[in-house]
Amino acid sequence: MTERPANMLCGLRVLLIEDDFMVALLLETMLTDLGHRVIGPFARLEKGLEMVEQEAIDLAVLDVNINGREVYPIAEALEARGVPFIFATGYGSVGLHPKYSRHPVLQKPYLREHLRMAIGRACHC
Amino acid sequence: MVVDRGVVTRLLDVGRLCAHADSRFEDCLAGILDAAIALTGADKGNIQLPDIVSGSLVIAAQRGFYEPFLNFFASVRHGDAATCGTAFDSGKRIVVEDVKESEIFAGRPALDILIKAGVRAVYSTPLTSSAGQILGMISTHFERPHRPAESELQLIDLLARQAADYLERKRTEQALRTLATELRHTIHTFATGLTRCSRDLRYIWANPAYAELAGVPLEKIVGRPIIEVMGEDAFAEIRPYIDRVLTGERVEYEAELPWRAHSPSWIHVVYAPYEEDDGSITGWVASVIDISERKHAERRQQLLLRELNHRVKNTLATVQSIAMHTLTPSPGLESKEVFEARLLALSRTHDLLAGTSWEGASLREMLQQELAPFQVADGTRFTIEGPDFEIWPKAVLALGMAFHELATNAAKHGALSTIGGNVSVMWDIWGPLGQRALRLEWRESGAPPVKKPERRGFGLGVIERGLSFELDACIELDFAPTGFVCNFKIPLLRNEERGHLD
Repeated sequence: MTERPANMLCGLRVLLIEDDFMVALLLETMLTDLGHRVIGPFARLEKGLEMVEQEAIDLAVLDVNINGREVYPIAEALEARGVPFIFATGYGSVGLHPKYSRHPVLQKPYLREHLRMAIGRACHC
Repeated sequence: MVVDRGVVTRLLDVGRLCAHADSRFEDCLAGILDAAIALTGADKGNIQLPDIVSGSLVIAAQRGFYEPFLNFFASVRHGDAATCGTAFDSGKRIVVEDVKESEIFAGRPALDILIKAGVRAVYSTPLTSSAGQILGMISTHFERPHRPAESELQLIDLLARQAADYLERKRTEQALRTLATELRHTIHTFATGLTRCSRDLRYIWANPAYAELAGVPLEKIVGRPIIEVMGEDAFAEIRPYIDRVLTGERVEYEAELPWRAHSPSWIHVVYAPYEEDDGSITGWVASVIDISERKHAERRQQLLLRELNHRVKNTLATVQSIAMHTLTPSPGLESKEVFEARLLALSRTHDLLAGTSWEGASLREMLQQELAPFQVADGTRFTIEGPDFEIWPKAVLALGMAFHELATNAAKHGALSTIGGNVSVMWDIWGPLGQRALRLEWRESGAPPVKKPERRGFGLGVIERGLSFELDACIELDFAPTGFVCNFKIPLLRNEERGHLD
């Protein structure tokens, strides 16, 4: 398996879907620190779908549970466009639909390094 | 050998009477007694049976006796002064040729009773079961002293054998009937579903609890094929267990059965093979309980644990976020203290929610709790005014954080930084039905003039961005010279609005 070093990745346009403001703020700061541009964060499923339609997106970070609803419609829309994505969740990979098991899962609380590696994996899978 | 045809006929008649299924018990006893009197040439007689409870001999049939005899000998216990009592004790026949000469009655009141009843001689023959148990007593009485001939005693023995066999059969029948009734009653009342099935996969019997589990009336179960009652899918599910029990194995399992008659239910089942005396397995007995409730509780517990884990992880991420945005070195801030204060604010909000099992919290209580650390002794710094209002958990968390930041800002730069400064928090519920919103105003006064900060810090970010992000709130900040004012308008969730109006 050939993989470019993940740290080569920067300047991505990252869609952030997360309903908890503090957590969103954390991810936003981490993504910015890693040299990416954040689109969002958004706490509404509809708004997220709208962004997938309208914006040029390189990558998305998706909280699995958005105000009691599953984020999968956004994941589907992203898959249809070939946009890579990462799941961020407090449930761990057990809570994830098996269909998406090959996508990287980021566990709360987040480590900057894990986020960086997950971005690397998402962009090469 | 000379055979008296009358005697033979008499014994045959008694035998027939007792063997006939329709004969009444009393009639049989009377027939036996009459034969005994006739065969021995006695004047009177009686048959006694042991009372199940007391064990005493009780007169069940009699000929020729009246009061006070009947009353006196109504119940004879072991060792009582009576021929039958002595025979009862010894298990052997007792012959009293003359009551006046007998040691049994000498000086006892029974003697007088016997004499008055016209009894001078008596003998009692025990009716003994095949196992040697005394099933009854047959006594014949004579008005004159009487020594029975050997042939007379043989005849009474023959009759006694017939009578004992009859009594033993009746006892066995009664015991079986009682057992069957008890068993039927027990199975019928059992809360556990019970059924017996045959090797050809039909129900032989079932109890009402089973019928309820299956959701099919009992009369539509007995005799029917299992597959017809349960449905194909449920039957396919249990088929492997049936195959196992039919090999003679005891089987126990839990399964979610898709019954034909109703929605699936979880059951706990035990199968015991039904083994005949020759060792062949002709079917099985099943006991079945509905464990759906337990299964649901287990599932709910798992969900709760998962949810708890999720909340803990989420809270940790929140703390991580607060740490990241608070502990970055910035001039003029005691970042460690600010961090601690923010953690405490978060903790207080959790306390409030824990108190209601995460159902929500009262806005007033929340304000009082968040502002308590900033209050002064005489309690004049805050005016809190508004209708009682219950807010939903997500809003409690977001507002808890916002109020903390508002109060912290006021303590640093605003009304809470000087003596005499105060803050009024007022709210109402506003707007037409279906579009109601919580309007809240935070107004500071009596403070030095404030000026708009050049850069929005984390605290103001939490208020402005956080509330609009999480609650779709409109936020207006006014750095007026008379004091800082903050206005929120938070649209109410449909159910929250209804909850308030109720």
